[in-house]
Amino acid sequence: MSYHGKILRINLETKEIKTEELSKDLARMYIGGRGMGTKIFYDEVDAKVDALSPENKLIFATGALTATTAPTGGRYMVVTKSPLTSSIASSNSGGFFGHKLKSTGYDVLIFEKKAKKACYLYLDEEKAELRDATHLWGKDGHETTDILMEEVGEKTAKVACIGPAGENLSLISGIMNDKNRAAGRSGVGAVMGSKMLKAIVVSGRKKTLIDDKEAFKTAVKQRVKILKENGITGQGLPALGTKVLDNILNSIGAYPTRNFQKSQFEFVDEVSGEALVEKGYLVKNVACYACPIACGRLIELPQGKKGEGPEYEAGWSFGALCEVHDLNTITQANFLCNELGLDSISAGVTIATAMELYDRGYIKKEELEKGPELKFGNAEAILYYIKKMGQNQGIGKKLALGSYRLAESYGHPEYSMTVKKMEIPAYDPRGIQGHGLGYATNNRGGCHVRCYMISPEVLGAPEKLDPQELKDKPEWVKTLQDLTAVIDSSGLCLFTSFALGAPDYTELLNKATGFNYSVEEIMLTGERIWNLERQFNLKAGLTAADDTLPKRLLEDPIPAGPNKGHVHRLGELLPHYYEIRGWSKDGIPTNEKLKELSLL
Amino acid sequence: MKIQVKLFATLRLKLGVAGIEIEIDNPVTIMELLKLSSKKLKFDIIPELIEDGKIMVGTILLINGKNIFHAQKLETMITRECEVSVFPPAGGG
Repeated sequence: MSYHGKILRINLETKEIKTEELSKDLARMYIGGRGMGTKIFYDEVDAKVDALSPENKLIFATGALTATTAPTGGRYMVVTKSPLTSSIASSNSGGFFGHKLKSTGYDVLIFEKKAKKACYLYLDEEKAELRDATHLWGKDGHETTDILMEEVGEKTAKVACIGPAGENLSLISGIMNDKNRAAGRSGVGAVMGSKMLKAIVVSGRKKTLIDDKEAFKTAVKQRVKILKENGITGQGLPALGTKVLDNILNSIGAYPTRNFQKSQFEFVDEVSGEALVEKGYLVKNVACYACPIACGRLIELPQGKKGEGPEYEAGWSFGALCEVHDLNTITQANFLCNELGLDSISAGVTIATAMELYDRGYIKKEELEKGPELKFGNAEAILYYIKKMGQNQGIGKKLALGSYRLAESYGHPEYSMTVKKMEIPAYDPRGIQGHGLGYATNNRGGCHVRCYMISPEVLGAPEKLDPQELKDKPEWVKTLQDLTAVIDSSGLCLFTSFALGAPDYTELLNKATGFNYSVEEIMLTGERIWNLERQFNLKAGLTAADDTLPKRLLEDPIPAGPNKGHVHRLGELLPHYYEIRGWSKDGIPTNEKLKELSLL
Repeated sequence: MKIQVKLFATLRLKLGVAGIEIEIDNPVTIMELLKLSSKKLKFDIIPELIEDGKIMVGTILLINGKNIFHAQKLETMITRECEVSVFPPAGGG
């Protein structure tokens, strides 16, 4: 069975650390990672809790396939209540930290309360210790990692930590691991900061036990072959990384530009994934643990600065959305976010919001305290205000709260491109209707990785759907949302789903856990997780009114390009989505549905 | 009439060309245009995009930003000056 069966509970206030048993039933019902973390959180924490108070808890959960040889099986999930959205937060990350975390012999960590002074957790197979981190407070994520690696003196140890943004309680701060990998979204860094927990260092060699070793080996081999032979996971992603999407989305006219005022960027060729290679910035591909895809980019800029990224989303948020076309600056912006511990999607969208507020005269020049003008296209402003944001200085204090609160503070929340107060990623829903429904109904707000409708609507995997067609889209959205909950709970990367489907995940899980799920049961498990998140959000005070998109996307037609004249037709999609979800007209799961999912 | 054929992703990197111009006198199908493009590029781009006569999963062929998959697929006619975007199987973000 691919669980160690152990939970580590850490009370940061009393410093009491205890080991608890992980129930087999819980594992079977929720798989691991996102599912298991959410169930534990739901049962233990009042949904009305102030996300930055000691009563909020912070959970790190590994998946059923984390630290196995399953392709991409190295991920972990952070589950907590989001200070940005007030909804459930679950933020997922790759790299090598998740693998090492599970190799300590624990499946889940639960942090409670708040430390009296800055601390970090050291965890290996023999010991779990809370250690002083006052010397690390104020340091960026890279410095913190270097110091901790030296301090613990174990080459194979891995570090997850927050940067200054998390310490300063920026609502768009993330948790960084392996320096450049991020559990970036939902403001989970601020929750960690509010607990005065600077870092977690894990070191261990405990093997994950597999239920049927030989059958698992065969199942893994077959799936690695499928991933390598698939055009997307075997060729496109390795060659160009996620930034291959710049030209695709721009060509179809769904590449949000100038804070979603336009949907095509005239300088795309200067900032695209192709440009990143052609300009010679790409040194080599970087793979996470057990990943045959290797979409990560190790980059060296002409001035000698090295780092990872930008990924498609960050390249876009600091690029087209701010109308900046200097790839060097965009790449540096991504590096800075990694160091400061900022969510690079939310940071870019927030700066674009600030640029629109400045453009419209709501942010005055005096407020910039002699900083660069917040004009669209001003590359210098990007780096300057990211630093201000991360360090919580000047207007950076407002920016650090994210796009919605920034726009609202000037009386104009309509210029914030957010769902449930979280910044929307790099796909204009007016050009991709199903994807827009996915944004609007997402349990954690404006996010693309809980239901990646780009795959069928743009890329054509597993089949090509017309992005402007509404028929069957609610069904597709529901299926992808449920399937993604399974993938996230397994500890695998969503990118595997370009080539793999529910039967593949079911087989991998069965051979590893011995649970013998049917494909139907696996999909029902995904649906259970989705509905449990929904239940948390409803208890937290969110309503159907939050399942929406910014007014601009619902009312202002795209002004030019292939999607000229289109708005997002959410009103035509949402009622049917609720219906097939088994929810009331007000978006509340019916008792019948909850019983079917064993949630009542 | 002049057709601008833009190449992206691995095709662009492999060939070192961002695009070519194809001059045609009469309307052609997109399949014919790909053949004409291969001839001009001195490289057969069709196996990179099409398998057993079908558009490969992940391949994207656009006429002025509109995917030919939702028109007549490879039989879609090019009847006037336009921009054709050619993406071999790519990926996500």
